[in-house]
Amino acid sequence: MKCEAVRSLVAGYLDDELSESQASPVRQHLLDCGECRKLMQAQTAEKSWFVPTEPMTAPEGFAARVSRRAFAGDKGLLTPVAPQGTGGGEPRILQFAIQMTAVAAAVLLILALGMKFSAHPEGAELRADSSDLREALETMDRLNREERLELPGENSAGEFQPTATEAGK
Amino acid sequence: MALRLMESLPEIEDQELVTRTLNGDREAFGVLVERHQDRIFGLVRHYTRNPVEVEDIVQDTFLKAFTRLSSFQRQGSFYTWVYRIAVNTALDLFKRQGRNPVQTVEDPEVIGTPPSRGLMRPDAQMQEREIAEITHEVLAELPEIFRTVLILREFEQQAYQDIADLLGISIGTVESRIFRARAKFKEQILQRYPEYGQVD
Ligand SMILES: [Zn+2]
Repeated sequence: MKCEAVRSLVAGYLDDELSESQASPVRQHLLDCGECRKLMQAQTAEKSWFVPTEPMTAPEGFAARVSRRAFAGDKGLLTPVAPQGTGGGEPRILQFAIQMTAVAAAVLLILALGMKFSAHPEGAELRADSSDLREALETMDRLNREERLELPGENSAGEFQPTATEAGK
Repeated sequence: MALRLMESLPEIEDQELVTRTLNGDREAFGVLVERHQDRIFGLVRHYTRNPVEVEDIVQDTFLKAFTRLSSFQRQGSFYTWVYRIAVNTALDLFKRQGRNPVQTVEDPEVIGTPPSRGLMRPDAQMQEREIAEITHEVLAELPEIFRTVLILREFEQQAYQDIADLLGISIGTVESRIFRARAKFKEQILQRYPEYGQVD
C-alpha cells in the first residue's frame, strides 16, 4: 500500500471506522513506514485535546417557552424574514422560482442601469448604483441560503401537498 | 411545568407527537422539544461559548423545525432531523455574522505532507475544563467545514456515515475532511500555544 493511500485512511483508522479489510493493510503499512506512523501519532495527539464535556441541561421552562412561541407564529429571531404570501398551499419550489425570477429581474434592471450610467460616468450616481447592485446580489445570496436551509428533510417524496386545482382533475 | 408535560405524555413516540403537533396540540410540541433539547444544547455549545447565543440558536432550531414540521419524513428519526437543522442554523448564523468567513477549499497538499512538528497531548495535570477551553478557542478559529466535522466526530461521537448524511457529503469526503481538520487544528493550536509543540 502506498503512503498516499494510507494517509487518506488514517483518520478512519484511528476512529475505528474502517472495515477489517481496509484496516489491515493500513496497520501493516504503519508498522513498516515511520513517516506515516508519525502522521498517525500527530492525529492521535490531536484527538486527546477533545475531552468529554459534561452534559448540558436546557434552562428551566425552555420547552414550554419555545412551544408557546411556535404556536404564536414566531419564526425565530435568527430566521431570515420570510417573503409575504407563503401561507397558501403552493409548493415551495414554485415560491422559490417566483422569488428567484423577481430577483433576477431586479438584478437585470440594475445591471442595465449600471451600464447606462457607466456609458455616461457621473461619480456619485455610479456609487449609489453599485451599492444597489450589491444589495440585490446580497438578496439573491440570502434567498439561496434560505433555499439551502429549507432542504433538510425535504426530499419531497410522498410529501407533495395537493392543491385545490387538483380536485378539478 | 416542564416536568408536568413529560409526565402527562410519557411513552408516546416522537412520530405521534409530530402528528399531534400538526393537529394543533401545543403540549405535544413542548414534549418533543423537551425530549431533545438537552442534546441539541450539548451540540450547539461547541459552536459558541456565549450562553445567550447558544439558547438563541437552539430556540431558533426548534422554531424552524415547527414551521417545517409538515415536511418531516415520518420514517426518519425526529432527533436526526432536528439535529441537522441545528447544525445548519449554527453555521448559517456565523456565516451571516461574518465569523469564520474563510470558505476553505479543501487543500489537497495537506494530505501528503507529514507533520513538520508534532503536537503534544495536554498536560496530565490540566483540568478537563481547561483543556476544553483551549480546544474551543482553537476550534473557533477553524474554517467552518473543519470545525463542524471535528465537533461532530470528537465531541458528538458521530459515526462517519452519520456525519456524511447530516452534511450531505460522501463518506470519502468525511474521511479526508476529518483528516485535514485534524491537521489544521494542530497547526492552529501550535500557533497559539507553541509550548505544546514537540521537539524531536
Ligand atoms: Zn508511508
